[in-house]
Amino acid sequence: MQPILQVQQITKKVRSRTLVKDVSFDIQKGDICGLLGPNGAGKTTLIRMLTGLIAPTSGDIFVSGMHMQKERQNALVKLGAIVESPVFFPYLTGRGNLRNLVRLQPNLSKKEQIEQVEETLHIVGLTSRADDRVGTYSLGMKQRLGIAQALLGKPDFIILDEPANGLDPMGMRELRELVMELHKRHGITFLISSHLLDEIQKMCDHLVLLKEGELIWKGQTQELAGEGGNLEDAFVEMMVR
Amino acid sequence: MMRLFISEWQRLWKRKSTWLMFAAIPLIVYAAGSYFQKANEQTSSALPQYSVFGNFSILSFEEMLMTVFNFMVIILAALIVTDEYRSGQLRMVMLRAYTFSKLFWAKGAVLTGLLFLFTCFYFVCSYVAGFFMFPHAERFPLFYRSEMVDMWGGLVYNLAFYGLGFLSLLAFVCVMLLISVAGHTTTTTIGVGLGFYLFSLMYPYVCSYFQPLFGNEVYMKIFFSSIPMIQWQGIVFMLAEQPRYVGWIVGVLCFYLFVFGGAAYVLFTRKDRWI
Repeated sequence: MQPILQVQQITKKVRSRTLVKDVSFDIQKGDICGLLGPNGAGKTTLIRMLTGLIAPTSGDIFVSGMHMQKERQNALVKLGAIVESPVFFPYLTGRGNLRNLVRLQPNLSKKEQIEQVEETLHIVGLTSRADDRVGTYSLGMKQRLGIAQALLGKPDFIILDEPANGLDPMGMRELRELVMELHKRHGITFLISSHLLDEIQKMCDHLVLLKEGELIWKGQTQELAGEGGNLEDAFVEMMVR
Repeated sequence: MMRLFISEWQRLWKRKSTWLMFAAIPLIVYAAGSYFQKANEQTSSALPQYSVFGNFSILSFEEMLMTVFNFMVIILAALIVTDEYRSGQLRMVMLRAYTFSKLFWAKGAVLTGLLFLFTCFYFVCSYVAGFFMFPHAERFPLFYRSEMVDMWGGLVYNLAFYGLGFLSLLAFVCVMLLISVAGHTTTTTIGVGLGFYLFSLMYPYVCSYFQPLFGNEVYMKIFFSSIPMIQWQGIVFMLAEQPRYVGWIVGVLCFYLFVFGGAAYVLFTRKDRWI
């Protein structure tokens, strides 16, 4: 089966600095893959390349078999993403933001657009606060709305960049349950970047580890955590090697 | 592409600043009317500067085009492009299945469409204000024309003036698109935009000291290389009985449109988006 994401020897240089160096990995359909690494490891830079916001200096990225640089428009059709923290149009309500964005989905009638927004709000549990301005939302609600905007267009694959950042334990739990639910019910594949090992271990079945822009490990979560199941020890060991 | 345009257009009208600008137009027209009423007291009714119902629309637009309308372009470019781009709001749109090229054209089209609407609204408001605030002369003089015109002739002239005025605004939009795409903050965009505007106002005057060196013809070309000067004097020259500098002014406006617009396009579509 064709992987939903293929990253082939990606390198990103900015002037003399190499931010990401020769990174290659695949994600299969149905996986929840964690992208782990300390701050400055190149996670967000890699995600920006995966979503076509920046171009790699060399290498290729394929999403659902489509080349991100050459066929970006098609590659994004079934891809949803939050890159860095979700930023919304502050003068619009939660529903207003989603309605504005759902217009950009191809081949949806007005009725289908409204239905999709309501369905998405229901999935992320924001229906009751949908008519409040985004400026009044808590960080957790903004993350949920971020996931909601990523869900518009019913994507097969969602990339979440540090989704648990700044969330309290309850918020983290809700987010985890939402991701698991979406994976289970809708069969969505996820790539989740984080440095919160506990959360990643609970959610992800596969891991990709980055350090100083280089891929240092990839495989199944259980494989890295070992028999003791302690991902933190294994991660620290990897990072100090 | 149409969906992208509608999405941008809808968002624009959710901003209070857009409505404030729109609401300010009748007030600006009224302020201009009061000013020209006072000016009429010291102006001969035989002069084209004397405001009547038929010419108030262009007399006030000429003043407002090079001030209020240019400032509107600066503010709108800062809000629609720099603010959305640099704050990360536009990232949500950029992650949809559209090319950056389409997004650039949608932004440009929205800005142009809004200015077109503002210009049309100003035209209507100024005619209404002119009707109530100024004498209804059957025939009135125009700048650099020997024959007086009637209301119908005046309307045709006014429409041509507004059309050329709008073209000059488009040239300024292209300059501001480049500044707003390159600007990292709205303050930078507004600051550099105002700087460009003030420079465009000042260098023709500075060059006037060297006019004996250049000669009149070269000096006039330097003078009409500035957008505000084209708006202030150039349009009237183009619509004169014997039009002057038409080719030069059209060439200058095309230069701004294609060079600045092209540079903004390349910067927006080719550069990495670290947002």
